[in-house]
Parts: sequence; structure tokens; C-alpha cells
Amino acid sequence: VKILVTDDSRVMRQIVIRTLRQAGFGDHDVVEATDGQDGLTKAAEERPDLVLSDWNMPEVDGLEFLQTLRASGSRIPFGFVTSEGSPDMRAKAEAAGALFLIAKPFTPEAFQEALEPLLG
Amino acid sequence: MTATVLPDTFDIEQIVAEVFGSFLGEDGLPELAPPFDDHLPVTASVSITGGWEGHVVLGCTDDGARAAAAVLLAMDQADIVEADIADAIGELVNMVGGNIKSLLPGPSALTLPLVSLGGGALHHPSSREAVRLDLVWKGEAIRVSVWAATSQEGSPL
Repeated sequence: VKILVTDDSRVMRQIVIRTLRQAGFGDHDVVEATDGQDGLTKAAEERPDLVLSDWNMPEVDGLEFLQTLRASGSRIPFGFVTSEGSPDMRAKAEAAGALFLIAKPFTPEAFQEALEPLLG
Repeated sequence: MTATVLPDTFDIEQIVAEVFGSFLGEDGLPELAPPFDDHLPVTASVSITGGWEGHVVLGCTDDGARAAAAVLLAMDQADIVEADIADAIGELVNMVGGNIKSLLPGPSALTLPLVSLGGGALHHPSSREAVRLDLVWKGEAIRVSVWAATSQEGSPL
């Protein structure tokens, strides 16, 4: 399984990758993207099985990233990892086709709960 | 018109404890400190616009910022460069600000973080400091403050 981790913060990409490992998903391949535009490029090039994306990013944000993927016909499983977990943001994420929203700060348990149904 | 109830120091302390506990916890949680007047050379802020308008600001010392970046990146402090510090402190204020935003009236939007490392403070015109929390982490001063736009009413609990 290949996971695309998209965040404009290198620090946060490192934390997400570390947390994936702590949650027991360390055997999967990880590809990194630095914003939504890079995410679209990597999604096309790398054909990941799952996208984890920040929401607030320069250029193309996480919501636009997801909407562009869906508009292109991609059904790739997509989840947000973002500092904003308000009901309003969760509703927007779900309406756009996100499977889950993990709010920062997060724990390995939150990753297990969200990813276990997808990665087993 | 009913004044917006801003998060108080207890709310902010809980959020800071959650952020540090999740990602910097192995080195201990920030502890409340008596209010201090020190100038903090590292400053980062995010702005909130929409249902409530203002800024969330995080300030800390150079050594504190470097230590936090090293823990977050799991690197030696000696290998940390300025870009790492800006990224780390920006991400910390993003998380604190995002969680404070969820306690305020919405819908609203959160900006990308602004970070100043050179000792010059970030200025927030047309706003006033509404809540301030002074903390110490690993012996280094940290300040989290919420600045409310003066165009709206707002008062701490």
C-alpha cells in the first residue's frame, strides 16, 4: 500500500509519518507532497492507495486538492489531517468526499481508528 | 448585542497542554509561569477571519524554539537550521490557533502562519490583546496570546 502525505510543513509531514509507524502502519510506502498542487502531481505519478492531506496550504489547499481529484474522476480514499476539527470543517470535508478528518494534535490511536478500516 | 466570550487562560492552557503533550510530551509539559515582561525574539501568529476576527500569537525564546524544532523533527539541536525553527514554530501556532478557532463563533477561516525569527515582533494593528498566558517549557519562556480585532466586542470570561 502506498500513502501520499501532503502538508506544506516538513515538520508535520515527519510527525505524520512517525505516527503512521507508531500506529502500526510502518510497512507501507510513503510519498510526500508539499502542497495541494504537488499532491495532484504526485497522485497522478505515484498512484497512491490513500491520501492524507493538510487543509490550510499555499497555492492549492487541501479542499481544492480533494475537489480536483474527484472532478478528474479519481475515487482514491482521502482523509484530512488538519488543525481545524470544527463541525463546519468536518461537514465540508465529508461533502467533498473525504473519508475522515483527523484533528491536530493527534495520537497513534486516532490514526489506527481512521486507517484500520482501509489498511487492515 | 451579546459580547463574544473568548477562550480564557484555562482553555488556552488545555490546548497548549494537548499540543505539547502529543508532540513534545516526552520532554515535559509547559507549566504556568508568573506574568513576565521579557521580549520574546521568536514570534508566530495565525489570523482568524469570519464569525470572529483576530489573531493567535505564540512567542518564545531562541533556545526554546530550537529545542522544540529538534524534538518535533527528532533531530539533534546542532543540526537544526532556521527554516526548521520557522516551520516548527509556525506549525505549533497553527495547531494552537486552529483549536482556539474551534471555540469561537464561526464559520471562519484560519490563515497560514507568519513567523518572525529576527527579534522583531509581529504587529497586529486594529486589535487588542484580550488574553495572555505565560508559560515555561524546559526552562524557556513561552507566551500564547489572543488578540481581538477592535471592530468587534469581546471579553475574556
